[in-house]
Amino acid sequence: MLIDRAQGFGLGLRAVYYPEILGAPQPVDWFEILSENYMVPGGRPLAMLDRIRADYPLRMHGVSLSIASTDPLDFDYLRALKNLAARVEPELVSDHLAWTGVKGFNLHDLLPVPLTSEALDHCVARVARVQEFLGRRIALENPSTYVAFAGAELSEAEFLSELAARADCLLLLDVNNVFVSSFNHGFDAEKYFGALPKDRVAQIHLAGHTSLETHKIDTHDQPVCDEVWSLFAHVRKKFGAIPAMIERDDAFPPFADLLAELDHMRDIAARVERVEHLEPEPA
Amino acid sequence: MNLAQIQALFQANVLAETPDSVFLARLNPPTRGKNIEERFAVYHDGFRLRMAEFLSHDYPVLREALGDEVFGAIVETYIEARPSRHRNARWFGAGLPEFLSQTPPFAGDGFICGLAALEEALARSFDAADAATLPVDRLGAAPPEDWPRLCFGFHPTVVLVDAPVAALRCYEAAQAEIADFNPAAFGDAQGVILVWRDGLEVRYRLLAELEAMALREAFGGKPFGDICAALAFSRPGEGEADLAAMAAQFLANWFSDGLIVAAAAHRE
Repeated sequence: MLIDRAQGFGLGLRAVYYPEILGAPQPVDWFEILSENYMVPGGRPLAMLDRIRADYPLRMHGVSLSIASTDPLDFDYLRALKNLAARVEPELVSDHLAWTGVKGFNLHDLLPVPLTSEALDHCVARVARVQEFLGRRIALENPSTYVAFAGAELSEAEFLSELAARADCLLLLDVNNVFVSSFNHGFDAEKYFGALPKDRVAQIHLAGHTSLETHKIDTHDQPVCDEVWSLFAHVRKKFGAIPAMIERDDAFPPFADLLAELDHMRDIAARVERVEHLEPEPA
Repeated sequence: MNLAQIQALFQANVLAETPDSVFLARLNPPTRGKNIEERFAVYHDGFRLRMAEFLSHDYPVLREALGDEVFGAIVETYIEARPSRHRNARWFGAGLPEFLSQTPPFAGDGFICGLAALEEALARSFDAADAATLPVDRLGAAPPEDWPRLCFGFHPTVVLVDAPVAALRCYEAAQAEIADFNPAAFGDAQGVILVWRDGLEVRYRLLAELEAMALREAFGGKPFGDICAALAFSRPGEGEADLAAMAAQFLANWFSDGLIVAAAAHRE
């Protein structure tokens, strides 16, 4: 079985919420950490991590793997990631279908990948090498993108599906990113979901974004919008009970507001499940 | 154009002050809106905003002291001179104090360079490696004849910062949310600030001249006997026994502050 389909609803772990999380048990099934925040020698970040890990399952999500970069893989980074995974014992280790820089530089951004067979071959080989080094499958997330390269040979969903099958990796489906990119590039979000392999999607992300007149930006600084909630219901129906969570990285609201959003997510999932059970099996 | 060439070109255009129109023409035209520049700006301008955010996070008091406009100009020149080569954004700003001390117009500005050095030290100490500290009674357990040869290992979070006293007072004023801080009120006095982490809390204190000298010697690996000798050399008029007692008191303070992780008699 590729995917742990145990029900579960999580939140991104952010330092601003340490007091609430450590102060009382919270109705959160698991937290997802930003791996790089804890790839430090010691001090408060790792001490808080250990305390929270004692009470909650954790998942690891990185932003610096740079899987699509044509620079060599950074094994110092991978070693640190592997050491952190040994400490955390996460349910999942994930990063993005993106690159962060070349020629030794890091722009600290998730840069878009040309959707070509050359890029696919390159990513397949690197994911396989990373998984071999880490000794586990990783999941790659669909990024939000704002520009697209001319000469694409595949859609992003096709690229991810091929990558998952050929490299034997998992996928992290960010529903908000699909919504943002579908607006920016004019594709159909539901068709995108339809092109993804059900047995490879291991986790769901939801977040808020900023809407401008001509494009949307994945800012994680607002509540999840209604359209993304609707897409979540669609995804839940298509992919089933996959662990799902909410990311918030700026304009942090009271923790109770995030818990309310998480409850909304649970309600939608429960409603989809009820409807699914009422619907007759297809003949 | 292959993948490596596309990525090199994309990156060059993010780093360039103005993206090249020939490059932008290689991107698909946007489905909404008319100009591709606006879309590429999410990467181009976003990069600068993110780098500024990293530096603002590590140097909040420096930013306040300089004002947003000047700080923004420093961010621009720093990005250009030292683009990040770190996988972890945490380390991107670590080179800023050195950069400021070598680059006009702040190369000769002790106050600004000292403030930057202090904030960098506080950030470094915050997540430096953990280590078990030695209790002060370990000092008493050492045989008296070993004391002159005792050398000390320091906690990985210990940093000594050379800075004008005004820089420290500026930092303290910002912590206390005192708005109208005037560095000139503190003159040109130089100080040595000890930064370390006590458990999970980062602490700092301004060292008196003799303690600074003693700690620098100890930090450099000198045995206790050499530390006493250095103190005696700097204060020729004072009694050797008094200076030795003062050095012992410094040492006891360092133990009780949690600075010491190892103590062993150095064998010739």
